[in-house]
Amino acid sequence: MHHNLLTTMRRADASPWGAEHKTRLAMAAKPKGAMVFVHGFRGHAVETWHEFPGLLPLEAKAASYDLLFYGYDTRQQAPFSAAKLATFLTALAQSPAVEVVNPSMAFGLPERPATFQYEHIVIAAHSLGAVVARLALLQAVDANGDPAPWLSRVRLALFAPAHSGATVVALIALLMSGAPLKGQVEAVARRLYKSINDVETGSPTLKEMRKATRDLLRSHAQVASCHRAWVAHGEDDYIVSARQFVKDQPTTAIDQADHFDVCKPTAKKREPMDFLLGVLP
Amino acid sequence: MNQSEERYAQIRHAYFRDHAGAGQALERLDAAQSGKRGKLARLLRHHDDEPISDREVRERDGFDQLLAFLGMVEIACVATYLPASPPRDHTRMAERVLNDEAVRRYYEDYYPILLPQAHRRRMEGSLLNTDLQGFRRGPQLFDQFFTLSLPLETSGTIETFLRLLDEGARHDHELDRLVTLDDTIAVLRDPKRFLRHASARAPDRSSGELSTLSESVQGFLGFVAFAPRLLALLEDAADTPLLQSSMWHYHGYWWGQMGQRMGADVRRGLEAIDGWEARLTEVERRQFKSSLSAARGKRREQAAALAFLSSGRFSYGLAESLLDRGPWGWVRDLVIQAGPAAARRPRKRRKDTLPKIDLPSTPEVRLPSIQIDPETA
Repeated sequence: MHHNLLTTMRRADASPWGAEHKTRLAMAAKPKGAMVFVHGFRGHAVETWHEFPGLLPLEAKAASYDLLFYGYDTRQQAPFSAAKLATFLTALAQSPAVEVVNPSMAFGLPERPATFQYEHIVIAAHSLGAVVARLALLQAVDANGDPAPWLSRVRLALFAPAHSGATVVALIALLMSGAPLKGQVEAVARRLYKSINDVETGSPTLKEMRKATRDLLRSHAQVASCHRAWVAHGEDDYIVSARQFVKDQPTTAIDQADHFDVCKPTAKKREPMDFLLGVLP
Repeated sequence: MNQSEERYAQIRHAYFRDHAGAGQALERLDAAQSGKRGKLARLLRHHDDEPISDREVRERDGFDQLLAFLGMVEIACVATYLPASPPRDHTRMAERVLNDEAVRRYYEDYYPILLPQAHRRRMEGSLLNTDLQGFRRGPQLFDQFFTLSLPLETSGTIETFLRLLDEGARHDHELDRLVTLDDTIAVLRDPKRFLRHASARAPDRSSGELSTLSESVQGFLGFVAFAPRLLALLEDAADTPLLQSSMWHYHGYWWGQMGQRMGADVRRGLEAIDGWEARLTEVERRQFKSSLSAARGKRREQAAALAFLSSGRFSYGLAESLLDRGPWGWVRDLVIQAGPAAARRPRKRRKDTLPKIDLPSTPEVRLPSIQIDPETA
């Protein structure tokens, strides 16, 4: 094992970043990177990833990465969730020791110097989380409105991303234990989960995100390379479209995995783990 | 700090910084030990002697957290994540807690749980790790168990659901009446109400708190999702019966309750969700055949895991390790005569009676490798 036990992720003032946010910090004195996990529609910061938090610390390639499990309210519109994630990522990229790592550490463990920086930040996102993560990266700009320089250190690893759209009735089935209930249930679901409108196939949010990503890749190719995401889809996924998004890497297909399973490695089913490890620099 | 001290500091951090309850209980114990002994004994009384008020429930939760922390340290020692003798600071604190007369009566007599008892034996130097010497996966299994269990510790919704099952009824501040498990099942039967309660968040409420019913619905979902994952981890620890059993005992009270009377209620909840399919048209059922089938399969897996975990099969390993050493024949008798459920914390039974427990029939799921015959154990 290369990581400390799971702890609550805290800010510089010691308050939690969020009710669900958790960390597993690398034992290395100067880890080279951070992996930020962003769950999907009606997911949970830690539980969405099932055995990832327990199995990743056994992997030598992940030994030098802090593991950060980020939670958000998936009922909110994706751009709102993205704004909060952008704030967190900026703190993590600019001042990780002061803003995240040292306050989250158990008392008595060696702290990292205030000048500590990550060489790499890998964002692993599932489903709606992929849209939230992409929007957060688009919102990360410096004082002049240019993309934040730290974006060049970011990579995106996306599991079943909803960036090319999702079927609404299938999202409702996801909420309702597999049953695609319509009528009043759909109306209640749309009212409660505003994010449904963001990920519906052909939504204005997705169209604008696609255009902004394309423009950024043209105007700031180097910094915007983080938008060339690594993508994995489960072959049994009936919820999201597997269409390629702008200039993403070729899709990795994961056999016998649905929308739910695609981001959950087990000791016997390693594909999600191998996919994520393959994205690490 | 050496490696053991760092590891211990992390476990302690999880219970004393991320939850205030354990620290407050320790302060209360300090105060009691410096003079107000009667107050602590009254707080930690058996509920049959006098009903427990809401304020006392919160204060007792702190002691439950403190005992959970000591139980987690015991598992860490069994798994060789920590050395067989934990750091000196811990030993002093653990002895102070576990040897306190009122606390000891609480975890030994009123609500007997085995992990603190095992830890007290360890502090006395009479409990050794036997089945993990040379077993290299122990620390890894502990790490996975801690990672799996911690979110459950911090989930107030699961706690509410389990307490509702345990106590029968709790007050709901939104409905301003007592709600029972039947209310939870009624919500599970109605997709619209289910969606509202399953999606509710505390900050949205004027009170800043979720209603008991919403917490119970969300806790139900969390609890049934947790069961197959814990079972998989216990099966993975089959080579080490003591560690396997110790991990089970950490959550053993609830599995015990499941075995006694809750299994059927949880099954009713899962069946209520099955009923949603009847609302679909034939076309919808055909179109979503695979998702419906996958969801149904997950519910079957959850039900099987719950049945298995509550069967008591995992309780023997730890009980045996205690029985083989010292004057612990009463525990042996309790476990062997009354069935494994006797190792759980009874809430409703009188002090002077043993529970009569029937083991549920074995469900059609994989058998774990631990096979101890109660007749010969």
